[in-house]
Amino acid sequence: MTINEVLLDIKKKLIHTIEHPYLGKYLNQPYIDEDKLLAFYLLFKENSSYKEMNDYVIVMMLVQIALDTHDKVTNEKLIDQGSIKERQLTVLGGDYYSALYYFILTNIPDLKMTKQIAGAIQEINEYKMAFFANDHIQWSTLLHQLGRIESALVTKIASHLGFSDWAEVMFDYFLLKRLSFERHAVNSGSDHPFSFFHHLDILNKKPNTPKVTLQKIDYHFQEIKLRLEQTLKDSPLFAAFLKHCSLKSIFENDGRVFYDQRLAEEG
Amino acid sequence: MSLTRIYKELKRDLNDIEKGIEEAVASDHPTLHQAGYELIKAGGKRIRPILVLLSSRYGKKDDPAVKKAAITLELIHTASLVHDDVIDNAELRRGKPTVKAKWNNRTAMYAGDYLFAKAIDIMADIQNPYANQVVAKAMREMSIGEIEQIKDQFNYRQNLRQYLLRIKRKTALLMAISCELGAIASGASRSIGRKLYYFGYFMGMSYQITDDILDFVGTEKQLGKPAGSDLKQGNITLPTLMAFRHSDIKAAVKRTLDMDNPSAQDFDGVINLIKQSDAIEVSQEISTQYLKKAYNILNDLPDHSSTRSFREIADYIGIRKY
Repeated sequence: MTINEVLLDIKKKLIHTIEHPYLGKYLNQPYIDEDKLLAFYLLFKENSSYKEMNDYVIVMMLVQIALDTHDKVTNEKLIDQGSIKERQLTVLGGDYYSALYYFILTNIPDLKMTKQIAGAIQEINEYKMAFFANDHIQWSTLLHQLGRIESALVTKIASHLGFSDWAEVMFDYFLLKRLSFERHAVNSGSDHPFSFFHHLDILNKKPNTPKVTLQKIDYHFQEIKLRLEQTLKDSPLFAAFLKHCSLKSIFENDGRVFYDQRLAEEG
Repeated sequence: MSLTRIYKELKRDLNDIEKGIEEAVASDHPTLHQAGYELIKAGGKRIRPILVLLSSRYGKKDDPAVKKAAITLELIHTASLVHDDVIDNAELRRGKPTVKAKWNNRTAMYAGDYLFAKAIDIMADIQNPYANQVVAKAMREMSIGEIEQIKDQFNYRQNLRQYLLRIKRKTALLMAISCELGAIASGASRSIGRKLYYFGYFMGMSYQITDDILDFVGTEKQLGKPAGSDLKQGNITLPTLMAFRHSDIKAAVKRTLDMDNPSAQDFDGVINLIKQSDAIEVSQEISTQYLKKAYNILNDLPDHSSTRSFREIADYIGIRKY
């Protein structure tokens, strides 16, 4: 099987695992970050000591999906019954996916891995709280928090599997991906439920103008991209990752506008 | 009748568990820390830790796994309440502002997720895969139960079986595994563990049915929330289901639930109809039947101080008024 076929197979199993008839009736199928799927697959493959490798990848993706699902629970007051039900099921959907990851792991069983994941979830939620509690936006702080939110699960598991050197690379890559998403969200003026910057502006009640936000995102985007290009030369694992990841085009063709899968899937 | 004697008897262990819970909710982030701290200080009967401690006495003494199991279950219970308050858009819990009311929905989501993760983290310290499987399975069932509750909202066609399965997942299961985990963590026999599971299950069913009855007959002060909240939110509980045996009441409830914007008076009308029927009495009888089953399990357990304490807890559940 080619790597793409293997990943597709895992993705199908993941979709089957998260299927719930009632949730499916009211909520969109959860977004599956294929770059994270790829990263976890490569990490477990490289480690080679986990027999149930695909189950582990599914577990990690369930955790990510659970976390992402709860990011969609907004603060706005709802009146429409349909929206209220959607919010209620979003809360419960996240809890359900979260329960599934623990259930699968305890059946393997792997309590050490369970602890690693639980630690990562705690860290991510602390960073999310810090991100949204920022009264005075300092971009360096925001970017660090955003990078940890996006990468803490991957980096923690990478370290657990013996690939600590991947931590920085994954931090940069998933922060870059996040910025690309935020750029699209700001650019299109959408109040996309996944856009952290959008919600941050609402919370602080003193939004940056889109132009300023875009300029800042672009500046940091280029900075991180350059850093990753330097890494590329020294890391065969990252080179393997880059061959299949969604942002590969920006590393192949400077300046080319890339397509953000997340926005497309979320519509 | 109260649980005072049991609290006194378990005081030292409960204090340790309380400290463990306080340590567990500690966070580097001040709001997460404060939210967690206020939640655990808001009260709560600590029923689950008590069940774990009492069950553990059928095994060997002072195994640290017992307290870890107790802390885990209390954290799971607390985390699920934080998320429930977002689901129900609740402003008050135990008479105090909820996390979502004091901060916002996002904070409640992240605080709940943080506590769930903390609970799993602590549970994974217990190097017993079966004990972890018991908790994981219960968490999965609980979340399915919560989804079923939303699915059954405003559904006056639901039957008794659906209701019973829902309250099993919502309440009884966590009480059942509290009893079972105490036994497992202390190395008591699997047979004792199963019996304790069923004791907790039957008791939990009776407890929730009583809760559902009190929602109709209790006062706002006793309940810490407005009376009749369940029906107003479209949750059909046992008293309503039992009242449905009277076609006129069923028709009145159906009319109210079908309205676009039913007023408080509309609801008060049907709530009074339910209260004046035999529904409360019949529901009470079903609760008593579950409690009898719990007593029967106790008759099958060794003559032991914990068996006597469980009997007192069952007595308390049988007469509790809020």
